[in-house]
Amino acid sequence: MTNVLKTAPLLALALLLTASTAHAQYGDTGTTTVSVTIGPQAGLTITNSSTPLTAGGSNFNLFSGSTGLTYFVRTTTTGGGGSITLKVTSDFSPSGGPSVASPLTPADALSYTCIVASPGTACTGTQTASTSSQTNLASFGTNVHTTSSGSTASVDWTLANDPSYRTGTYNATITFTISAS
Amino acid sequence: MKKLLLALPLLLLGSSMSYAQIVSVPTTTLNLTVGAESAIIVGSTPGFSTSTAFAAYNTSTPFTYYIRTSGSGAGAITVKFTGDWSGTAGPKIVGPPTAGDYLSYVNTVSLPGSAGAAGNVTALNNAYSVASFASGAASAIGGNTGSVAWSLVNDPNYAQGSYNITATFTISAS
Repeated sequence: MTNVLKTAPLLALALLLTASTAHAQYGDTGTTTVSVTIGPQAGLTITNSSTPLTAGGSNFNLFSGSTGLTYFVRTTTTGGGGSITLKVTSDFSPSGGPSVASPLTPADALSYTCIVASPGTACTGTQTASTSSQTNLASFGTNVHTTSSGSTASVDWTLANDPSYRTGTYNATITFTISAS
Repeated sequence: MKKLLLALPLLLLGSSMSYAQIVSVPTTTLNLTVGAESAIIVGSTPGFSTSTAFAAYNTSTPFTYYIRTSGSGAGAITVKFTGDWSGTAGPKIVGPPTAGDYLSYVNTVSLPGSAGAAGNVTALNNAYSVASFASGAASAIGGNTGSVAWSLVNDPNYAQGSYNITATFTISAS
């Protein structure tokens, strides 16, 4: 037993030396190839998940409000592109107020204008929101990139203040879609 | 060690895909509160005229109104005179030359308004009813119309001259 105790440290030391020698058998350097594939990508965040529409000034002024967003995009170097679109995925409710799908009069449409920071290009003029189709907010050309902090855009909403709307509170949901290729 | 080296490219690829995680639920809710509102545009009033000698002077004031009342609300259009006729020897609301020298009025209002009863202007700062609106009333988006037909006794005691008076229309909704 005494001999075992005496020889154990020596044996352990020998094993450690052997292990370190074993590494040396793979060489002093090693290489590997790190590869990454960068594809077109896009994402966005909505600054204000709730957008109040208010009518300032005198009675029956238009209702207006603004929705801000930050977008991130990378399009391919050749032949790429992208867009941000929006759609009214849930019409104003309850009934008796404004309606995107069935406005009381043509003048009661929910309309908007676009403000888009580079590298996006804003929609032109006044757009009319729809419950049945995507409408344009921004477009991107080939080989465009935002910074890692993204770029900003906003949608300025306008809605007629039709006296025929019943008094009350109405909500509608807008869904934004960004795409890149 | 070999497994670690194999995993490294996958980790790097994973980091390149992390932009997709930036996407939050890309929706916003438009919140709109519609309240009771009202507005009125009062047109110009032609000068009083008379058809024959000492027949009453007549004219009319047109207006366009916009209104939305709540389900339990109401509305009204009134007119009042905060000052009397200009001049000293002509018609007067307060202290006319002859008792009965009234400025009288007849209201005409299109739906959804109900015309107020005709009457005589006998006092300053009194709100005379032109129209009333029930709960849940709504005008057209381009407004609805109405008018007040004025008639003034043509008292021979009025001195020759031109006289003016200002009528103030007020619309309200709740």
